[in-house]
Amino acid sequence: MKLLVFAHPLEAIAFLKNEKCEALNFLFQGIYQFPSGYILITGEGPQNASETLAGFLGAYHHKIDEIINFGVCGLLNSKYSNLLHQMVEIRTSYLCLKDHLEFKSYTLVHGKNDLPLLDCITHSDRVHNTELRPIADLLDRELWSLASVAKRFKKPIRSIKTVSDIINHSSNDICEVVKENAQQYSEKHYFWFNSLKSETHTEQSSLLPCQSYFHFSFSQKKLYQKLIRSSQIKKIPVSKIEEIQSCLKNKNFENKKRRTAVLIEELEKVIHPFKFKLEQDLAIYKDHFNGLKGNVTFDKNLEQEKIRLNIELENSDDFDTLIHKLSTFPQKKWSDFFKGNINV
Amino acid sequence: MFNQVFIEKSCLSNLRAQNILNKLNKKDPIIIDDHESFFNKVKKPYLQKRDNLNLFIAEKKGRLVKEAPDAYGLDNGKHYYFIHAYNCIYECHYCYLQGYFHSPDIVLFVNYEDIGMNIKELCHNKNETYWFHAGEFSDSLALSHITDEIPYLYELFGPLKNAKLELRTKSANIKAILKQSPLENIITSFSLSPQSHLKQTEEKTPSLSTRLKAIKKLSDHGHPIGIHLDPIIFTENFKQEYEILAKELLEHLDSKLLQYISIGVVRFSKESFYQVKKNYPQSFFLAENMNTSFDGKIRYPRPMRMWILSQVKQILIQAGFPEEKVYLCMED
Repeated sequence: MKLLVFAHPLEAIAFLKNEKCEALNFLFQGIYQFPSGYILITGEGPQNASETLAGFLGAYHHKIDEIINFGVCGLLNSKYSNLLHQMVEIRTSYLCLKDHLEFKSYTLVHGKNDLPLLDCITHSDRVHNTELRPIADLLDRELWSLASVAKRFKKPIRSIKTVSDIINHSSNDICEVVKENAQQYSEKHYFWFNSLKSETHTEQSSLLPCQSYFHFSFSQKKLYQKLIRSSQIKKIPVSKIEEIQSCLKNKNFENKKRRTAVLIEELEKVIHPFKFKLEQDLAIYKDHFNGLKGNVTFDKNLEQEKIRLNIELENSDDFDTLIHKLSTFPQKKWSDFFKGNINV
Repeated sequence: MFNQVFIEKSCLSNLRAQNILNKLNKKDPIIIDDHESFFNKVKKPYLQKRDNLNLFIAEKKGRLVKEAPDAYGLDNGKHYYFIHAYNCIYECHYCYLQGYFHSPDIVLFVNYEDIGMNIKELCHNKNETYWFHAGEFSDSLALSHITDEIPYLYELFGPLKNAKLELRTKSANIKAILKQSPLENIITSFSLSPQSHLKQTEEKTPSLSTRLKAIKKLSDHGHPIGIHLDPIIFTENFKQEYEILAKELLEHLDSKLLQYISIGVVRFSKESFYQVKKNYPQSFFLAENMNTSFDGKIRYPRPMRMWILSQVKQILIQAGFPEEKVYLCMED
């Protein structure tokens, strides 16, 4: 469902009239429900915006897929004066609290429409000068707060604004002008909302194989998805991946977990042949210590030559074996391996 | 090229600044007190450089010349870089600037005389060689037709016999250099990669053949040349591609004028790596595994990158480049 957010009731008027809206019984006023979503009236300013949106999402976040903010904005950059009374979509939202520029910015999602895409700075006060022009072309009072709360709740947000005025020192009575045009702006926004075609977000196929043959632990699933992403970047045909999977399905394994481990190994071989070669070489060095009771590990990032031996020594034979293994370890070859002396 | 041009009040009477404004045909720039009040003050997404790139004309304050990190250049001498600009007009997917500054906007510093004074002061020991690199935070030549600093740099470095200047570029913008008589201690260095890599990882940069032609022109005029095969990105057939590149390079360059070839494997700071994944999630260099390496940067595993470097070095030597001129960049 969509959550449509407005600062003032007048901005939402066309939506409230044309949709079958019902006031929602909530902790505070200004929330309406309609068949395909909710409307939230926040009140003016960044604090009202963050308080009300956070309050609403705290209770209804599970029902909301997308947030759309509709409103008005002032124009800081007269270069775009042709956009007066026109709709724009916001690309990036910035914030100025009193005189302090907030470092954090939010880049909003935006659709494939014909609206001009501009940046907007939210100000904590009503301002009548263009000092913030180097940062953004538009100025509003709420968007940054909405975007920060949306980010906190991991909800995509977009913002459609109508440019209501060109900001200059004599724009003190702008509120009256905005009020006069509010209904007209609201209708334009509603028209745009109605024509909004659902943009299908086709997720990349994860190609997660059939669960009746494979069992993925959490980390295996992550690794598998990473491998699939790499295969897509390397343009390895999907058929190649599917072939590996179906080949393993027909083989006998002690359990699904083992089959999954082999699948990952096979995919590594195809997708990262160099890494696979390095791992093969490492296995040889590891095998050198076979016969000792314990673990041999290497630097996990393969950055340092160090080898960690965690060995149990119970008797003199164990001591002898360890001494023999250490004295026959191909140290020069091991060192050369880190200098890139690899037979690829 | 630029959406808006801002100029610091203090630069209004600067001739270099006026020249830049004239060349950009910007008669009405926005006057600001200080670029630092806006640039880097807020996080401006890197990809906005495509359609919302602003220019700041400013004076560089603070340290103008800085010591370069270890393994930055050839072993002989002390290495420094100087800051003539922030950010670049090109868009290279692997570029560390996307994680370095918080804005893609370009800042051009016009107080070259202050930089020059700093450079002269540093070169006090006549027995030492001092290297100065331009292009740490911006391409050295890409905008040189607008910024016009090349004649000044030739004038500055001419008498500084114990100093060397490297002008590092991906551009083919060599007109200003061709107007100068070659100096032994000013080296124009070009970053090159096989054309297929350039096509996939760089936007708005000149093609390989254009850069090779620029190298040839400079070489024909007797200007010293440096080459950076950096960043090298692993692909299944990278060896063949570097063999072709080495051959082509040799055809365009008088090897007597070649000062060095540095080779370096693709690497990222943590912050750049995060930005790269965000900005270019489908980049082919993200397909290989990379780890945190000795200096905290993200690289291929050490055995792999050392193998890649040894292969490229071998290719260069076999093609006919002198071994002593090839050095590894940013490896311990």
